[in-house]
Amino acid sequence: MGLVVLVLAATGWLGARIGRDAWVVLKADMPVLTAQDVEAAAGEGIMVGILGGFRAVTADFLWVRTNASWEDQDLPATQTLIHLVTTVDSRPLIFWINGARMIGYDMPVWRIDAASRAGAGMPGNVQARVFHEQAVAAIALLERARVHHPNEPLLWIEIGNLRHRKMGDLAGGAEMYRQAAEMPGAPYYAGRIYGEMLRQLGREREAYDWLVALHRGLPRDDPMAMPEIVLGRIQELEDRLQVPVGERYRPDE
Amino acid sequence: MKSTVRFSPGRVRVIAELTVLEAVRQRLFGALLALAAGMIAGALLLREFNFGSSELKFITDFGFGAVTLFGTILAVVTAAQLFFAELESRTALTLLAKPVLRSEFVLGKFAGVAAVLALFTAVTTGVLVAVLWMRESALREIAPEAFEQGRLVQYGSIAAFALLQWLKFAVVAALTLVVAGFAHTNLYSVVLSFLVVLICHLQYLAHESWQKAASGVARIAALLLAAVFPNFQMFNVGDRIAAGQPIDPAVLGGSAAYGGLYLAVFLVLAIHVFRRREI
Repeated sequence: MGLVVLVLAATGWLGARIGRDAWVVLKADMPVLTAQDVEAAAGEGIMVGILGGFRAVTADFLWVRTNASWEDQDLPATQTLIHLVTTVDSRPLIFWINGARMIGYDMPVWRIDAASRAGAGMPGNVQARVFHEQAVAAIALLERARVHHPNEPLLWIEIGNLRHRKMGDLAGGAEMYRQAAEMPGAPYYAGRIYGEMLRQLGREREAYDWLVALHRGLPRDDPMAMPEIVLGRIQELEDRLQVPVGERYRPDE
Repeated sequence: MKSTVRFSPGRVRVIAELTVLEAVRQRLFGALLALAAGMIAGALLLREFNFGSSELKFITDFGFGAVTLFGTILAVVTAAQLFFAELESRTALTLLAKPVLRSEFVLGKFAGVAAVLALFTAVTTGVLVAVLWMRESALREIAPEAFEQGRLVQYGSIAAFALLQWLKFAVVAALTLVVAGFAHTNLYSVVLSFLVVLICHLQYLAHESWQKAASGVARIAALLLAAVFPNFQMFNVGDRIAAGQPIDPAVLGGSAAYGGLYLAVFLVLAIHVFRRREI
């Protein structure tokens, strides 16, 4: 027995060297499981799914479970399942974005409702803290998502929405929209909304310059680009900024 | 008295052929093959269950899962069953009383099981390719604009996946023969082998725990696990293929070399253990 262990240890040492380069590549696709994840996965009976293939179908099964927990407003179960489903299969964006929305938008409402059902109404400042805490948790999930999807502007937009709508951080939200708008494949609305956020922040000149640059780059034949809306905003800003008629933006020039 | 019988590949082949015949006659082989093939074909019915990824990726992932899961079960159960069948029916005694070396017996058994596993992998992969081809052709008619660059499924990569999985199953079978060499019953050998296979799949976590562990005991335990057990995630190229990413031949080569090393070591150990076993 001792000899067998010794031979296996020597093989392990040699094997690690032989397969080192291949493992670096393959490891990047592996779910990063912690001891808690393994425990949770074993509890859900999905270890075979994770380890023996079936990742997509296991994740889909867990996503159904997540939505069932969400319907029951079971906060700990929903949170655990969101973590598990994104750990099992980090590839689909829907798990990250919808999971973050559950955490950031629905869970604070559940917590406040639960407190009022228990007869302990929450004062406004405590409610604000709950919303803030949940938004931070949702952003933490999206930060994990960005590691797996570094070129996905929708994740930046989602963080921007949470910062703006749930944390009251308009400048932080705008910065996320700017970064998203500058990424390849960003939806056209990211640039439009960034311009609007700049206007709301009182940075009208900056908003004007941004929208003009944006409008110049928009395709005229794609209805999703909505160049006429951007042009309308530009003209509003020109009026507010009192841009002389001769210096106003003329898209056809 | 030292044996004067020389190693004969011919005798290994004969034992292997008999092992294949015996394995194919067993109900288990047919049942697992039908179950795996049925599951792969059934992926078409589960299309509505697919939330996260595209349909073809889902079918690929599901198919890879079926091949891997049932192939692993087949490798463990067939290797243990065919090994113990010879011992329990005492045919091994008759066989080894003739000029047949124990190494030939072990290698013959292994080669037979490996051939059965190759047949299983080829058939299930064939079903998967047929299902993907059929569905992809149907989708091409519905949405030709999505296929302007040609077919989306990398069929060559699926073949590479099948080869690597077969190698993994062969390693599992050789590992089971090592365990069977120690074990006294078929059931014990099957259960222990499955446990070892599970540990081998989790080995990469042990390696990470070893690097991060704070306490000395945990560090030593994790180090032992990481050092003694092979990392079966080295064969996990399916996730990459299902995601539509190309497989670097160097990665395939590295994984195959890793599998080849463990295969050779487990076979040597299986022979060593069987030589010391009293029949």
